Amino acid sequence: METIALENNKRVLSQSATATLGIPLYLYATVFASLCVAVGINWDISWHMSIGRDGLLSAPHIAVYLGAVIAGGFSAYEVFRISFWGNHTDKAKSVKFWGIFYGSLGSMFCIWGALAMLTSAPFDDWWHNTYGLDVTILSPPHTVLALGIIMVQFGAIISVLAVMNQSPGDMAAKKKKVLSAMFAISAGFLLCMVFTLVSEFLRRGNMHNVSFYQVSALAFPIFLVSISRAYPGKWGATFMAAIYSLFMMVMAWILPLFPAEPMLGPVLNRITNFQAFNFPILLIFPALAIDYIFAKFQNWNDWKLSILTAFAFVLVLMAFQWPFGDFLQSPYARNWFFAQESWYYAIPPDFEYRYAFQPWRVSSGMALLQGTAIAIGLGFISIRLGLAWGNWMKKVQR
Amino acid sequence: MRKNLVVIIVFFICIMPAYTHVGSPGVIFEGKAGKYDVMVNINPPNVIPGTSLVTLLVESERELKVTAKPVYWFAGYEGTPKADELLPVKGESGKYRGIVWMMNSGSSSVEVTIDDGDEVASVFVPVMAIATAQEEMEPSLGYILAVLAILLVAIMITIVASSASTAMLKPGELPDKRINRRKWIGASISIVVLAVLLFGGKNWWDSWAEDYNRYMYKPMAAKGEIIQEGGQRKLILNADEKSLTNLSSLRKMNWVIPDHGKLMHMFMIRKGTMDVFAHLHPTRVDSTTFETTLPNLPGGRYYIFADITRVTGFAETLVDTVDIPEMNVSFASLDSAKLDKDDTFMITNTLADKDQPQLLDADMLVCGTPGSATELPDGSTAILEASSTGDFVANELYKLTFLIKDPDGEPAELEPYLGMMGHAVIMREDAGVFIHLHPVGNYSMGSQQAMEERFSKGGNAWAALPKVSKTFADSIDQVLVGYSQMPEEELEEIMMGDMVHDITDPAHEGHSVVAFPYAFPEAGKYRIWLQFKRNGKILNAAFDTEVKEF
Repeated sequence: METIALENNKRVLSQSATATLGIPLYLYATVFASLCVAVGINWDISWHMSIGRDGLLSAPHIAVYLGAVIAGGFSAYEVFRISFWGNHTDKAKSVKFWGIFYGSLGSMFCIWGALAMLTSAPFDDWWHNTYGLDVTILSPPHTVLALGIIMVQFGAIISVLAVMNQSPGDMAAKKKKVLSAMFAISAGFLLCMVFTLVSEFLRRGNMHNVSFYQVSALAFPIFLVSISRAYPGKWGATFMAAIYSLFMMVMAWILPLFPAEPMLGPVLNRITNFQAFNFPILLIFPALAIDYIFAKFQNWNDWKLSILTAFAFVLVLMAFQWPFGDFLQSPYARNWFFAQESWYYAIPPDFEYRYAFQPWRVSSGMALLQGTAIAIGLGFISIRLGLAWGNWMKKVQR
Repeated sequence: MRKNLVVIIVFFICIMPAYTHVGSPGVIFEGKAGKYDVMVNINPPNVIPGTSLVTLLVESERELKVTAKPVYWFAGYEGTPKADELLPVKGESGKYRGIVWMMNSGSSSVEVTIDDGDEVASVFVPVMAIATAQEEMEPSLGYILAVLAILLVAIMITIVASSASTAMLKPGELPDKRINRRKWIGASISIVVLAVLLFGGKNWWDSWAEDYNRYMYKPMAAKGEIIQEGGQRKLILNADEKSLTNLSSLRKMNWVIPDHGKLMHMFMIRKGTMDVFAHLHPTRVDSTTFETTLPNLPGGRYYIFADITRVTGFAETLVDTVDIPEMNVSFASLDSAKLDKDDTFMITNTLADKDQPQLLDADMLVCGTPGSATELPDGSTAILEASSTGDFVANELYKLTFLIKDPDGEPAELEPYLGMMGHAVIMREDAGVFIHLHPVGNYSMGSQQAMEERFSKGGNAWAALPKVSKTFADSIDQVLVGYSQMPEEELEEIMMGDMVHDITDPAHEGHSVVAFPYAFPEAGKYRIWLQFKRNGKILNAAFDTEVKEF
């Protein structure tokens, strides 16, 4: 009887290993967690633009918490499993910390992220009771939450990466493909979160202001460049930007299909359906430029490469986003695809500059030139850090 | 509502809104919604955006559907969100309670609607949505967050140290000296970076708190000054518009409108002793300056509380203290043209010295206490009914009911004074609480009328106002000139506004009783001044009461 039972167990194990291609289950879980928080945050912003009021257990919040619970739970389980029940091989692949614990670096990031997200909840609640319910993305408790999310998402990337780095050569093609896809997807979700965090500076009305490009140059290249450098293929940054763009578009297409009614007053814009958060900014073009430059100038040192890439990032983004800003203000973008009619319920729909740039916020002449130079400088810092980070990521083994 | 309806609601009051009044929480409305007698109590939030707790009391055997929603002055009815339901409070018949979100700062109101299946009726109550307090963190939450923060810092240091060292070792590879060194370097760098980030975060938090403080409601600064002119003392009150840190467009002095026929209701109370009380109506000299000739007030230091209401619905009380020099001015010598006909003052015993007034004077009144009668100058008497338990307790809603009898002991016939059957002013001995009440509640009726008019017109509130606020002030001055030339009866009619005053109602208590819904916000010694009119004369009475802790 015992032999039969063992045989059966073996069969189940081997079947499950085939289904997961030998990729640990917690990797799928962390990537899924990353998707949950990305969906939850995008949905939550749309919720606040359309309904306004929510509770602790609103649907978008549950999606975010689910992400935290999955990422934190699976990672914590993984750490405890290896620490107390793991075999020697498991431990040999792990980072030892605090004397008794063993875990992958990705798990540690995920645990940190989940704990930060957990911390942000009572902190945010107190914040609202003290300073009022903020209708802003950038507040200290929201930043703790965002850092938590970014860490969970980064944990997913690192977890996938460590498995890829451990066995680069002898990996089955299919497994390699799946891991690469998981890496790009989790990187794309990370980019969504970074975009959300700085989106208050990246509104349509700001696309002709140089601050748009300065913020972009500081926030995005560090991530795009590090992923491009660490990605096993040639088009890491491009995939990352493509996932971000696709995700933002799909959310902008799906959410407005659902009814929504403002539950907080004053209501200055009577809406009846969910208002989309945002159409993606055209990061795909500077991402292509990054990947192209990195492939073309492989032999350049990182300092020289950073200078070239900084120019390329800022100028390519400007070349596409500036005219795209004009397009988004035009009636041609007021449709389901570009979702530019999306408008917060508490702002009058007849606002004078709803579809126009405020003249005093349009950069021109010397201010534009100087501002662009500053953007390139900021981009250089971001890219150089991103390269260093990417170099490190390539070496992560555990 | 029954006459002796006492202790109706226990309020969960922990806030101190300080706009139309000083230190008195909540807004109380009493009136009719369709055929129903209702009382509405609103506790506005002390941070904005935040929630108002709305409680409705209604006498009805039927099951009602009660809803409430915010109506902002600038957004009007078109800008209201879906109403929230007020749910019946278990075990307390006729009581409904719920919350209403106030998202924006500014003048607003809460509309409460009752639907009994046959008829839908509503009332709306002005509420100023303003941040008035900043809360401290509770120690227990502070400890929890501190522990979590320490844990986060510790894990982050571990992550960075591991990232720089063991995480880069191939599976099975053991750390050597170099790797260990890298671990410590990583930990050290992360400690420095985290310290910088935490320091930055703290500064960010502090700047947020500072901003909040800057935009928290502060009363408009005002300065009172006494000048002597032609043998008379004049009080000049200057409002300082520049002192406004928030909502300055709503709070312009040029937007001031008459409330009960007067641009300003000024109450002066002698500091410390509370033995002198005056209700005066200064006139406007320019947009920020008001002046009034003082009646025969004894010298001393006085509190000034000046209530104003604006067309934007924003009502507030200007507060200052002023030293009045001693000067014996007889009424006969006062230039009557310079005193408003509705101005009045009274002298009573001091708060501390109830049984043995120091300065017995023919004009001096002795303050009553709950349950006992006090005699008034014309021989009539006033009684403040005691609560059912004998004591007034903080944070409970009472109907402060006064019974007036004529010199023969028969119920007196009261006449409207400034559009109401009575006015009450309540102050705690330390002046931490000051409020001006009417039988319909403690909200500004001028504000309510301004909002009603604004809502009936719809559209953009700002577009309906003149671009130059001075033009508006000039038009109001013209209205006041019109008032001054109007027969008194006609003026009282205007001042009563839309008030329902139905003497055919069997529940109508005649004109010998006047009652004010009110909840004392805190314990302490209070003095209550009652003002009413009988036989064409304004009469004042005062009562002392000690309010106990809840």
